[in-house]
Amino acid sequence: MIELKHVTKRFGDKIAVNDVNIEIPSGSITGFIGPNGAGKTTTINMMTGVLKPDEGQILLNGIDLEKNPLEAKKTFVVVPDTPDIFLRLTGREYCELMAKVYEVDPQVAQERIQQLVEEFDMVGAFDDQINSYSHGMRQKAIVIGALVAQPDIWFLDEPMTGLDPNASYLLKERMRKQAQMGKTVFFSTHVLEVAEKLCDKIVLINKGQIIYEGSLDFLKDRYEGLSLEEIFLQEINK
Amino acid sequence: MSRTLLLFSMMKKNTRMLQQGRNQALKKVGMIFLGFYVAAVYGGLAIMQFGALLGAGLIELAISAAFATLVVFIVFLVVLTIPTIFYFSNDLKVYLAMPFSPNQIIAAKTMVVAYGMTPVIALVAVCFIIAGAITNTLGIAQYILMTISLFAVGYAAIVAIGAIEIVLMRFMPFFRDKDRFMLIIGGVVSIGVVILMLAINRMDFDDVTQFSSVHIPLEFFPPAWAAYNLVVHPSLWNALLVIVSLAVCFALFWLCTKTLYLDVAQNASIHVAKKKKAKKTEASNASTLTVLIKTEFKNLLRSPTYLMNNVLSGFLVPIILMVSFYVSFTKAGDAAINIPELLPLVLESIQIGEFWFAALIGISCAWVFTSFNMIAATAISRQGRNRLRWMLSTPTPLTTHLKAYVYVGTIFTMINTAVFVIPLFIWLKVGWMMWLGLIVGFVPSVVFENVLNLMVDCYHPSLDWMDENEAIKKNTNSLIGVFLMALQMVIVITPIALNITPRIMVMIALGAMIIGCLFVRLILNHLSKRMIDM
Repeated sequence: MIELKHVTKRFGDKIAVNDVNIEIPSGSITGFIGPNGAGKTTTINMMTGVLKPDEGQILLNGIDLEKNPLEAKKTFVVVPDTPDIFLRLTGREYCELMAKVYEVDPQVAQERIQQLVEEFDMVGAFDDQINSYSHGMRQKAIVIGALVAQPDIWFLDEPMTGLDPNASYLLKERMRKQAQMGKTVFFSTHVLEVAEKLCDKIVLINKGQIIYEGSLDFLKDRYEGLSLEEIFLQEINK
Repeated sequence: MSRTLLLFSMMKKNTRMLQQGRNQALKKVGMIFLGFYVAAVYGGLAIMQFGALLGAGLIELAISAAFATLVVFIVFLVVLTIPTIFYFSNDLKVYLAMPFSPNQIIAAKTMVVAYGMTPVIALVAVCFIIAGAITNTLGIAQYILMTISLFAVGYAAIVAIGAIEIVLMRFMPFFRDKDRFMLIIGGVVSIGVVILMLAINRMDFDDVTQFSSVHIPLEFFPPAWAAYNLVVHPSLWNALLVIVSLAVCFALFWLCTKTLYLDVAQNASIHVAKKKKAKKTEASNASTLTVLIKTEFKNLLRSPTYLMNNVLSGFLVPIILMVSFYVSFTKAGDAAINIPELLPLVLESIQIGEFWFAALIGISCAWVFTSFNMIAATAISRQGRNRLRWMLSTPTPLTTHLKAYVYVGTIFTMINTAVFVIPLFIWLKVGWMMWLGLIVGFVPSVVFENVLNLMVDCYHPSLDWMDENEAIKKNTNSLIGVFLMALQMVIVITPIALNITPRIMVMIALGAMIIGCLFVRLILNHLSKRMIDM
């Protein structure tokens, strides 16, 4: 479970995130949607310990991120929007590093890596340096690294960018599986069709404020007959 | 032409230094100061060289040396820069997709390189003028002619290297892999530097006429040869020769870009790895710190950019020093001087015992080699913003990540020091007391110096780079590290050189390093807090 209580973040005079309250239950997939500059990445950065909120509290599975950062960080893994990281490691070395950092048993980690590499069709490339991968392959390597850690909470920032249809399908299936296992999946996206098909819950943010937080079904009932894209545009333009 | 200038101005803006921070004016002042400091160091050496030749009445040799120095400088500086900018930069595919002709793109990129080299050319010209003014050997007309010629030859050298590299890339596909290119050319340049230093060290500086023995034939580069003749024997005919040689140079470059550049530029790859069979590695029980240290080693050794700029450049300095000492010892041996026997007498005369002298060597090596390998000074910058985000979001204490950087920097500095000191101490046949002094001086100094350099990078890292070159080249932290080292050396070495309580100075320096080490944990904690919200 993820809880944000009265979280605010300022950059100088600008309030990037303003008194945000969110509760994301376990066993769900939550889509975090908003226009460019709405505060999505800032919010995710605060939830993942990259930025420190100026006010408020963030709890991850009940653990206060500010008071117990290391314990809180053990509960989640981030798939960032740009997969250009550890470019001089091979995919395998990156996943082994993630396993070590998240204290996964080495034997278990090796088995998971093997299984995921085959599932994501990375067998031929996994022992090459990540800088030789295409964008989509880098994204897959990062996703595999995240799945090796088997976190309770999975943060994904624009995860579909650059993925081919097969990989995109695999990732969505994995996200569903994680939620079915009782874990929390929280992802930001601009691809509203994906959010529409995948999410149990939607959080809409605009200009640093949450304008809707609730189930996708309730939102669609409120705006009967409209697609999520149309609902989004209406909400943003209010 | 206007489109070329537009493209040039876009590219120029993209070459700005990357440092974050609020006080940009202060940073600019700091950068200018650092620039002057570096120029003063190299410029001082150039002024000495030119001044010695002019003062000895060897005016033609001095002029020849100025052109040769300039051409050698330019070659060393642009031989790696040009392919990076012409073929391997991330912006190339963007420009190729825009309505710019390949000639406009290459012209703009050449102007960017020329813009970057202008301060180097100006430095050589200024040094020559200063040397001439000090020795009062040349007239104003010769200074003006010399300055114009230096600029013309400098820019001609850039396009000449550009033409050669375009031909190389076109007809030798082996070099079209960025990593391979950087590794091979960088290695050749490093070997060239060592050979040059060996040649310089073999010279007898009391006899300036022997400079003619290392007179680099300017005939290899016609514009330089023609410009030299113009300055030495000003005439319309020589001026015409200069203009023609420059024109041929630029024309050849233009021809190469028109016919040979585009096809290769469109297909130049960053890195194409060979397909390998998937392998299963053994599960490892190493600690997280050990794994992070190994990851950092892999990062440094697998990237040609970091290998050249951090690892190999760190090795160049001790190798050059070792070569210098070897040549000196050989010369001394030729003069029947037994240095190992003389050493204790020398130490006694400057009132510093073996132990403290060796400790001073250890401290100096730690300072010098840490700043020259720049590993700690660019540790955070090299990772980039994405890696920083990863570090902040993982359940590993930030201090562990920082410790890994300190360890890696320390290990490399230790290797650099061993390369220099072990052969030196063996040649000097030193006793166990000196070995002990070396270790006692070196260990706390290397740890604290790496922490200091890391602190510099943590305070203003360059995180938003497009390729690894920018992480090093557009990063002033390495210069700041060198400046700090120089400051420390001046504070400690000056009183020793003036024989003002040398032993006490060494004790003070060592004491400061040991006390610094006691605060390492506090410093790392402070730096880890600083990294949040970076």
